[in-house]
Amino acid sequence: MKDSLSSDISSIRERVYTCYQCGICSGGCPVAPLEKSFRPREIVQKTQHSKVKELARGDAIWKCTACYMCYEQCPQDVKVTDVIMELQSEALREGVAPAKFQKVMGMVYKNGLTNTLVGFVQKQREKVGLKEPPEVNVKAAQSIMEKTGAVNFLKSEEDKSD
Amino acid sequence: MTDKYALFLGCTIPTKDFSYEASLRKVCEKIGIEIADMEGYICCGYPSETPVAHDTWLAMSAYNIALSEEIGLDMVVPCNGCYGALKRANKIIKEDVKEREHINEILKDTGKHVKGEIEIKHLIEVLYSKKDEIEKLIKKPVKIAAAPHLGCHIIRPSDIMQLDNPGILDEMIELTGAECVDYISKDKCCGNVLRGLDEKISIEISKEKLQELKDAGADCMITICPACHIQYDLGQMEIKTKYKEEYGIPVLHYPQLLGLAMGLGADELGIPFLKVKADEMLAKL
Repeated sequence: MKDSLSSDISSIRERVYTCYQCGICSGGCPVAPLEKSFRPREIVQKTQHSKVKELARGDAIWKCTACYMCYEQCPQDVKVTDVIMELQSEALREGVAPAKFQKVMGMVYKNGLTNTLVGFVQKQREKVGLKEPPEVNVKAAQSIMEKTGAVNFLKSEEDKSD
Repeated sequence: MTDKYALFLGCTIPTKDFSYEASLRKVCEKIGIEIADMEGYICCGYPSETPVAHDTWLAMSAYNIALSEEIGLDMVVPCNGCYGALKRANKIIKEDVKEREHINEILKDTGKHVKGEIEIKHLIEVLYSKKDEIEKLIKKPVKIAAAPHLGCHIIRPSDIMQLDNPGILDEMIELTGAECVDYISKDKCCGNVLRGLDEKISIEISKEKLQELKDAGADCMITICPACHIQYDLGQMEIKTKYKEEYGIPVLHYPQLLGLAMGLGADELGIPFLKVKADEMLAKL
């Protein structure tokens, strides 16, 4: 059985075919009751019918909170969260992902973390007896993002006009 | 069993949730858990954990794991998101030689080489391992009703996370003398991930739990993750502004609750920094 962490499109296709549409994924999903367009069961069904591009270009897949409840409860080991993440990856490859991903990774490229420590925060930290936090190795984060090509997702965002 | 750990702070705690850092350092000191700082760390890579940025997440987590290996200690992680990312990466590093070699290729220019020699522990697991000692240190049992919010990434997916005791936070709450509030949406996600993607749904998800706790008469909610904490603490202020609804449920980091029970002061535990004030709860003690 392929490890869920090294998923690729072919293993996703194998896994979604074992889904018999019981709906427990939609039942346990925190978003599904609040948002009609986000039903994990339906997303898996559409993937079974090869509607990958339609899903990747839509808004629905970005409403997943990655809580893994569907993954946990699925009786067929479809690993629904991974299916949704693969669809999100397809969207990234097509350049139609929301800006948040690029913004967050942009921060990591710039600061090594998704948040920066600004002067006034350190003053507040001192009030509770905290010295400055450990130093961040920004160059290491940049080196990694350059080697893996993640930095290319940032460039494509910069090229887009706002 | 070692009582010294390398502390992985992640992105949010040092800058946006430092009362968590202050309280955890204070209680660890009291218990005799030694903490080594991870100078030169980076983001755990969780934000890039979609398959297409799979390598980025893996390499960033691996970098931090290699740093911990250099320090020669297991890692203690106070954030569910970081914990999930690091533990999932560590599993691959330990079990998949090919992937490990691939990651080390990516890490070449950083000067780090990961081996798969250390363990990743969540803060609550480390504290739980010392619960007998902690019991002896309880000076002022906190006689209030505290609702646990365990969060998602410490426990799911269970085939990878393998949390031995899903009731871990419940037990640790009871250790402080507090009554652990049981409620229906206990296992539900906080919705933090949707901040910046769908604010409306993000807030709606958090409202359900807050309403349940208000109806149950909980004096506070207890979290073990800065993302969950921000979602419910800052989140309540946002709900008040946007929806004109108030729940009045202070959200404490677990070490803040434990610290109070150990006789530490609210100020040194960073409790005044909470956005939803805990004054009413503190008055009960």
